[in-house]
Amino acid sequence: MSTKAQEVAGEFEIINPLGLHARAASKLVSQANKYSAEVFLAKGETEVNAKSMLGVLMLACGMGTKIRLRCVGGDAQSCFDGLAELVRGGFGEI
Amino acid sequence: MIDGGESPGTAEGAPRLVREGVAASSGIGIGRAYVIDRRRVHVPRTRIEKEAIEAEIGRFLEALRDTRQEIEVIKKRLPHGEHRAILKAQQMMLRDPDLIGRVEQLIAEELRCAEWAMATATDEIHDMLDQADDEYFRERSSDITFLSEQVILELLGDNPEEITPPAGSVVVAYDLSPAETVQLHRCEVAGIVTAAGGKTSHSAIMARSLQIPAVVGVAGILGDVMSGEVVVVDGVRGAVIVRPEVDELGGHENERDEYNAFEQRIQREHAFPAITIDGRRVMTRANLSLSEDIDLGRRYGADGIGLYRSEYMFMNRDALPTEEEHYRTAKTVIRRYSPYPVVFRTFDLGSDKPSKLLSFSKPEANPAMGLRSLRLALREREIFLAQLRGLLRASLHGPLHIMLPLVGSVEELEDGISAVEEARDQLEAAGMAYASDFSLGVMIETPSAAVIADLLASRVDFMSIGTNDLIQYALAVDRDNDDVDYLYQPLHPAILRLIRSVAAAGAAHDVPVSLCGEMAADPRYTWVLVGLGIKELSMSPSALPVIKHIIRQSSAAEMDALTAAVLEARTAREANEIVLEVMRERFPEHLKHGGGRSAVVEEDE
Repeated sequence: MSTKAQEVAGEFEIINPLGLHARAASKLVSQANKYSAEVFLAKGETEVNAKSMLGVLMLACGMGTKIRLRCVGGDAQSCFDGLAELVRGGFGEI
Repeated sequence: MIDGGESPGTAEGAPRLVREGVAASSGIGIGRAYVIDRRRVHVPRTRIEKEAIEAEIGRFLEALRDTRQEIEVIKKRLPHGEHRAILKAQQMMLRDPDLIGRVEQLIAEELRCAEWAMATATDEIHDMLDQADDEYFRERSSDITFLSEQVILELLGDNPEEITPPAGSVVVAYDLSPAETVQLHRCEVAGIVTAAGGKTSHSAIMARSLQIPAVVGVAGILGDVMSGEVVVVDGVRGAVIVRPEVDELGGHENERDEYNAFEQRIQREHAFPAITIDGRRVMTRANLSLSEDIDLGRRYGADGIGLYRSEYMFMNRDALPTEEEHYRTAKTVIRRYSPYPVVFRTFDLGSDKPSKLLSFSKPEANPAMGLRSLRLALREREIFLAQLRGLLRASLHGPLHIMLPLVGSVEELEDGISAVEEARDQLEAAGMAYASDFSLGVMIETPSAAVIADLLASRVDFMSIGTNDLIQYALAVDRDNDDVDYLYQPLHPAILRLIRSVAAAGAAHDVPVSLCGEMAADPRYTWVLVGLGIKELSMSPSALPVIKHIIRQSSAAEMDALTAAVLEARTAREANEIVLEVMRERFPEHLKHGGGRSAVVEEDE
C-alpha cells in the first residue's frame, strides 16, 4: 500500500502570552511526534524540525510571532490540523 | 540550629564576607556550606576505531535512556505543578531527534567518542540559544548544559553521585539543575546560593515553588566559601553572609524564626478583606504585567488588578500587537479576576522604556519629560486605537477599566477620551460587540494633574495616583541617580499635600481614588495613605498579605490621627520620624519583614 506523500502548510501567529516557552513547546513537540509526517516550523528564514524540543526552543517565539507550519508525509493533513488547533487555541493557556 | 561543635563561624582566619545577589526565593536560611563544585566535567577527547562506531552509538543511546530514567524517578516524587513541567521538558530534550542525530553524526563521521560528541553538539545548541533576544530563551541554554553534563557523567560511569547534603546545610553551587533542586528539597537543606542564574532560571523557579530560601547570581561565590563554613542566606534582601561572627549568629537565627512565624501568620489571613476594626474598607489590588504569572494576584488575595502594565505586550517581539491580541490578553485577565475589576493602563512606553516597534526619530536628552506614555500613544494613533479596540471588546467578559497614563492637562485627557470614543465608533462601524458600561480613568502622576485633579475628576470614572513618577516629577529627583536619590522622599510635605488634594477632589466628585506606586507596598506608609483618603491600594502581589494584615489590625481613627500629625510636619525628616515612631511601635515585624525593598530602606535609617 503506498500513500502519496503530501505537503500541507500554513501560517499562524503565536497568541498565548508566554509564547513557545518550555511548557507550550512540550505540547507542540509531543503532538508532532504522534504523526509519521515530517513536521517543520519556521520563523523568518529559519526552519526547524518541530519534533525537536531544542529546535523549537531555538526559534525563541514570543507572543505575536508569525510562524509557518509545514507537514510532509502520509498523514500530513491530520497532523497539520491537529497542530493548527493547538496553536490557534493558544496551547490551552488562554 | 547550628550545632555548636567544632569551630562555628570564622575558619582559618578568613574574614566575614557579605555578598549580594538576586533574591530568588524568600526566607532566611542558616547552615554550614555544602559546596558543589563541578562546573567543568572533564570531557575525554579521544578518537574511536571505525569498527567501534556502532558500539559507541549504542553506549550513547543507553546513557540518554538512563538519564531520562533518573529524571523520571525524581519527577514521580513531585506533586503536579510548574516544577514537573520543567522536568518533562528536560526529558523531551533527551529524546530530541536533532540532538541525537548530530551526536551520532559526530561519532560516525568524525570518530569522536560519545562524551566528546555530546559536548560538541550541546555547545552548538548552547550558542544558538544564547543569541535569543529574550531572557527566557537565553536561560534555557543553561538547561541544556546541565543535561549534557548529566549524560556525560553517565557515559563516564561516574554515576552522577546523587547530591546528599546533610539536612540543614546551605548548598553553594555554580548552578543547580531543576532535578538537583528537587533533590535538595528532599534533603531538607536550609538554603541555596548559586553563582549563576537570574529570577527566571529554572532553579530559581523551583526554589520558590519548593519554598527554599535562595539567592542566585552571586558571582564568584565558589571562591569565597569552603564546605563546612557557616553561611546565612537572606532570600528576603538578596544577601549572603559568609563566616558570620559568632555573636551575630543568634541575631540571624532569631530573624529567621521570626520571619517564618510571621510569614505563616500573615499568609493564613491573606484572603480576608482589608477592613479596619472600626469598619473602613480598603480595596487592595495587585499590580501585574504580561511577564508575570497571571494567578499571582489571586494567590495573595487581591481584590482584582489595580494596574495592568500593558506595555509589556510591546516588548521582546518583532511585530506590533494586533487588536485581536490586546483583546485576548485582556479577556484572559478579566475573566480570571471577575467580578473584581482589572485596570488596564494603556501602553506606557518612551525612549527610556523602549520597544523596538516604536522608533524614536532622535535620542532624547531628557526621556522622563519627552515623548512618552499617552503623548506617544496620541502621536501613534493607529497603534493606540488598536489597543483601545481590543480592550473595549474584552469588556464583554467582566468589569473593564481603562486608565490613561501621564496626563498633564484637561486637553490631554480630552484627547485621550476622544481616542477611546473613536475606537468605540470603529467597533460600532465594524459591528463588533463591546459592553457600554466600562470605566475610564486617569493616572495622576504629574504635579499638574495632581493640582487640577478636581478638573480632571469631573471627566472620569476613577483616578489612580502613580507615586513613583509623581514624587520624581514633583521633587525633581531621579531616584536611580545615586547622587540625588536621598532627595526621593515619599513623605515630603509637598507629596502629602498633593495626595491629600487628589483624594479630596475625588471625594468631592464621587470618583474613587486609588494609589499604585511603590508607596502602596510599603508597610510604613499604609496608615498615612488610608488617612489621606485613599480607598484603594494597588501593589506588587507578594506585598498584599502584609499590607492587608496591617489594615485589619488598625482602626481608621488612629490612621486619621497619625495622618493629621504628619500633615503638620514641616520637613520630610520630621514626617518620617512621626510615622516611624508609631509604626515601629505597632508593627515592628511588618516593617522588618514586609518585602525586600522597604526592609532594606528601614535598615539604612
